[in-house]
Amino acid sequence: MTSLNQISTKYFERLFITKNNKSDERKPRVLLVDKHTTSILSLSYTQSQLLEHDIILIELITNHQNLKQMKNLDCIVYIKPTADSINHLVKELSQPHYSKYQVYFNNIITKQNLEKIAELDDLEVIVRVMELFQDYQVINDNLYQLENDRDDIIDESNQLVSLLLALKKCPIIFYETKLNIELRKLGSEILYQINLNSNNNLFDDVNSNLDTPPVLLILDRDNDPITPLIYPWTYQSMIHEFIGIENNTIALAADANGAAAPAAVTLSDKFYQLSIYLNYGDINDKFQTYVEQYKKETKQTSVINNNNLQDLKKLLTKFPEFKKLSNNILKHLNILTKLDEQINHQNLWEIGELQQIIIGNLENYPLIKKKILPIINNLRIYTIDKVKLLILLMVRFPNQQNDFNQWINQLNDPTYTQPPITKSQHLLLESFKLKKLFPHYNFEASLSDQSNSNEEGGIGGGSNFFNKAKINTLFGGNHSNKSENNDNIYMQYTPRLKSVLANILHHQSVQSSSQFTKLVPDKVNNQYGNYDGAIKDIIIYFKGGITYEESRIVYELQQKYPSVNLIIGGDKIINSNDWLNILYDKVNDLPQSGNNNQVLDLL
Amino acid sequence: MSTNSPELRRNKRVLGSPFKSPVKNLANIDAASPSNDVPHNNSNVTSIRNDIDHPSVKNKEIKPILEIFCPICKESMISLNQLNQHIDDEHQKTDEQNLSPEPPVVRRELQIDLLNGDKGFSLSIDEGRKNGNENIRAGLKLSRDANPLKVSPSPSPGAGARGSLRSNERLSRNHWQTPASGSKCSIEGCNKTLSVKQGIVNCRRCGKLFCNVHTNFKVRLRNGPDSNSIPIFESLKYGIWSRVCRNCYNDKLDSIKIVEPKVEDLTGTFKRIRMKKNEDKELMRNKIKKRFIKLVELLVDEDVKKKQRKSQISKWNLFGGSDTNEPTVLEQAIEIVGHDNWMEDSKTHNCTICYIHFNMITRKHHCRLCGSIVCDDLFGERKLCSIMVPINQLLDKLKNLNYGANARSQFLFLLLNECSIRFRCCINCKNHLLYEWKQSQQAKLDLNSTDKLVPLFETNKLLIILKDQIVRYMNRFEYLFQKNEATNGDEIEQVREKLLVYLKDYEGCSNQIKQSFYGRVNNALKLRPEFVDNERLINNVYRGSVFFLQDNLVKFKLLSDKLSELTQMELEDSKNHFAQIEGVQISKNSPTPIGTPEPRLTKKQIRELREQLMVMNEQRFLVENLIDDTIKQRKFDELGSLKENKTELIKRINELEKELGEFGF
Ligand SMILES: [Zn+2]
Ligand SMILES: [Zn+2]
Ligand SMILES: [Zn+2]
Ligand SMILES: [Zn+2]
Ligand SMILES: [Zn+2]
Repeated sequence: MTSLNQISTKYFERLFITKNNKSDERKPRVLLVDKHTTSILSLSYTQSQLLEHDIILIELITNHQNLKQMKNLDCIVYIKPTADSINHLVKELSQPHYSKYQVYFNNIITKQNLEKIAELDDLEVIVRVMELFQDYQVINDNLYQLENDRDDIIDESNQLVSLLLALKKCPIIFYETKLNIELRKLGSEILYQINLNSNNNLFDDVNSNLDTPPVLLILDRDNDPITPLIYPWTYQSMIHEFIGIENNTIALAADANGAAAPAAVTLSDKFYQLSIYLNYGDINDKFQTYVEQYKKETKQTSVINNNNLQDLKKLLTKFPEFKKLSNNILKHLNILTKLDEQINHQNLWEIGELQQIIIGNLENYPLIKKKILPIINNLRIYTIDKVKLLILLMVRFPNQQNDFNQWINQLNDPTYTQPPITKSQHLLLESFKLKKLFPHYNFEASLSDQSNSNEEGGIGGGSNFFNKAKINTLFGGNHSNKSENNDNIYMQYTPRLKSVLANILHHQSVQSSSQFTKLVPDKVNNQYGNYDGAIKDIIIYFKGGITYEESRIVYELQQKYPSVNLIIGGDKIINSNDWLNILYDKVNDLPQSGNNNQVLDLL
Repeated sequence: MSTNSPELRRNKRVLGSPFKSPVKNLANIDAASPSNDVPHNNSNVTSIRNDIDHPSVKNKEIKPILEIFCPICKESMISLNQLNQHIDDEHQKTDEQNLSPEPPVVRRELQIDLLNGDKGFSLSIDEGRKNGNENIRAGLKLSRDANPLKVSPSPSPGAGARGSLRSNERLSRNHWQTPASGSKCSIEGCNKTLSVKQGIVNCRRCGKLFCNVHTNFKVRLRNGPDSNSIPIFESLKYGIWSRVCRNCYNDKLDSIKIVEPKVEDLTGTFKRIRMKKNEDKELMRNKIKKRFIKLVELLVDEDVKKKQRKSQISKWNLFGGSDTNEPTVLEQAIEIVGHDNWMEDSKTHNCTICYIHFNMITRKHHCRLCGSIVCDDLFGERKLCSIMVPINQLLDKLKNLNYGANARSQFLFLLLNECSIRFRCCINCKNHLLYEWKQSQQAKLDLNSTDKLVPLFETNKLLIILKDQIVRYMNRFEYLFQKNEATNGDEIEQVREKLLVYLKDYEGCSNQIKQSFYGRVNNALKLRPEFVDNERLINNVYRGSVFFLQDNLVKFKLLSDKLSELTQMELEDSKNHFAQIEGVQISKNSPTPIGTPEPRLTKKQIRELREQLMVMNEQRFLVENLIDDTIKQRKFDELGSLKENKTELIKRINELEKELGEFGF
């Protein structure tokens, strides 16, 4: 199993652990970073880790003109080889503030830039130059995220290439064809980068022990616009949905007892690491045990207060651990309280179940309609939840236009819905109703299994690229749409990703389905010939946003197939709000046609 | 070394030849002796540096040398000679092995490859890759930024001939275990008796017998290096898909696990480029310096003449005609720079440095040292492209150059008086001229710059040394402890003592930082005002030392306690000895002498409690500082829990002080 954390650890050693045995020649060090490497480093390493290795200052390289001269310090430079960062580096070199410099790049540096640096290192302060390949952020052990400030496809492909190099893998590239030019551009750009850098020998030592070529699977969020709208019920997903995770930190509002301001809390503790995939019930149980354990140990404290010296000593040595433990308990207590609040405020027990029933087609339409009506008419239900439910109904039962029209009206009516839907929401609903937003999206085809579905769900015409029977055997023969958690009503839905992956892993090939276009780097061709066999290594890149739920799916599959390597990532990690905002932008960009006049009339 | 047929040997050399047409040079190379066959190439290598001023020579003769690679492993070679040696040393053996079974066929195969310069016949791919190849990369990296949408990859070094050579081969079965009645599956715990129904399958790799279920795995294999060895994993396309046992499959999976992510060390390449560039710059600097010396001589001479003329003119007013001299000076100046370097007015429209377009206001000027046409940028509006420099300013900084007779005779006069002699100098030339001077200035600056922090860095140096010792002895301590549950005699005790001494020293250094850089304000430690501009740095150093001390004191105490528990169970007298040492430690380290000890606490206990107390106090200081920080920076990170920590700490400190009674100072 490939572990992104393990790679980060190795790179940490490369960057910060000096192999110089003579401690009297070692100087404390300054770390110069740019904004790109800052976020990469802060996601993987803590400041005390850095302190431990005598990194006593961290500075932004953009700030070089304000640094203080300190020749008693050595310097580690870790930057992305962008023109901007390199310009700052050469300026620093022309008037170096520190003694010796070790320069690391987190991606491939061009020959020109290397020469530029050499040219300006007059004073020969640089003692080491190295490329590491870390131009991506590690979120979970199997989940990475690219930095996408700019809409720059070359940068995007460079980042992916750095991931491939770190993993030492040169893959066959598959991208989803469906009319998305962006994916095709990205795919070809990566192919080009790989071929070019193969000529530079950079890809020489990759794939060295792999019997089968790895696969880079580029997926399009637009081919599954539904998954981000379904409320998640596992810990990490829920935190992102209801609180929001940014760079592995969350902003928790102050608790009632009044710590002054909202505090940013880092999510990296062991309890969190072990709980990210647990469902809501299990996480609460686990937390209880955690608290019990703490109580048990602190009870010993009170015993100690009765002058038992031997125990007191033991306690004191444990004290730092206690401190950490109690902080951690407090943190997760706050998180769980917050989640509970949200669930109750939003009536999510009810909404969530209804979402699952609709999308899983667990009941027939008249029954569902009976359940929907009181929700649509309920003033207390959040507008946004009504919108999400309606979208699900529209993709699941596209023929019920009359009902949809009526419900859209009720969502516009302040006596039923408070506040009424916005113009963007209105447009979005109309677009889903008329299948205008994703004309090629076919829910049927994206569902993992519809053996249980009746005609009402039928959209028809979609190409079923996977074999239901096979998937059934693959996933233990569960009937209907049920996943492993088939006893849990809140986790019936499985994202399209699962069927895509199951299909590949089981079918042992990707190109059999018309949905993907294949690009083969020369390196792969030379090594494997025209390979058409089993696939054991899949690196997934979700363009347009990935959900934590999907990374959990990958984790589950990985547990099931230990001999397969799965890594997943995306250009951003989205929750339902992020996705809706993206969708609003999309509908507002749609060409306004006759039907939209109706919409405007309704408004 | 020479078991190969001469023909093959020759072909190899041709393959490695740097020349475009192998046939032409065939005889040339063949005629030479194998040990030292291409002397002219060697001489080129040594002449790279000398020829640097003649780019034409450089391009023609040196470039091919850099393009010599081993055709097998792609290692770069300086000369054909080295390549021959390399092929003999590195690849001979494997070649032979490979060739021996079917010599004629193989030879033909090889010849085809040899003539086709693109194809290699990599046998030891891994070996070749390990050696890395900076030259290749350095050369090709140039193209990295080329138009990214045009894909024109040349075939990468693959396993062309190899595949066809090997694909028909059968995997060796010599090592196969022969089935006997009642043979059992070799997987531990399987226990199935092998039969037609259960399966009787030899693992293609280890050769042992297994049941069907436990051989349901496929990997790619090829034969090992000789007929007795078992097949080995081979992921390239000519590896044969083979059925293997679960054990072997797991071995395979282990081999895939990433041990080291990719790292490219460019230090060698970088230093080579830098050396080249610095040599070029050095040459340029020397050139500019020489011109400067000549120019100064010319200008001083001219100045002297002018003065003489002036006095003459006042006397012989009628003959006054200085006009004829002016062009001569310019001509002489051009002569110094060199006519080739003196840029032509008519062809230049933009400033060489800032690229501004020349017009009536922005006029063209020639730098008198390099001949470039630049703009005048006295006020630094652009890039300070050029100014009229008074020569005494330069002379003052360049006192030790080998000036001409005129300049030397006027030197003091020029330095001490207002200087009217000026010349046009561009910023680049100024930098070239003053390069050494700037460096010496920089060095002076370096010496003075960190005065205030010198004690901090000195102490930190000690901390680093001590830290290494502590880590080393701590590891040893833990190791001895685990190795032998009972007391390990003298060594563990020695290690323990050493560790204690180092920890004490470390603590001492840490305290020293505290005392030199912090003061107490309202009972909390505060950085002294004179150090605030280095606040982050000092805090980090101190914090780091306290963290390290805490971690290791805790670890030390745990082990030490366990050790003393064990020792207590040992002989009584060894325990007494132990306690004696403790006593010594206390009197050495406690600033106040110990009064009458209360019976309820032993010396050892007092010492330990005091250590705890110390740790707690450090922690409190630390937490207080953190709280200050967070409030100051308005980050409010974990402010709540920090405050809580502080309360807990204070509580604990009070408890400890109570416990210690009069010893809780
Ligand atoms: Zn070689
Ligand atoms: Zn085996
Ligand atoms: Zn068996
Ligand atoms: Zn200019
Ligand atoms: Zn010049």
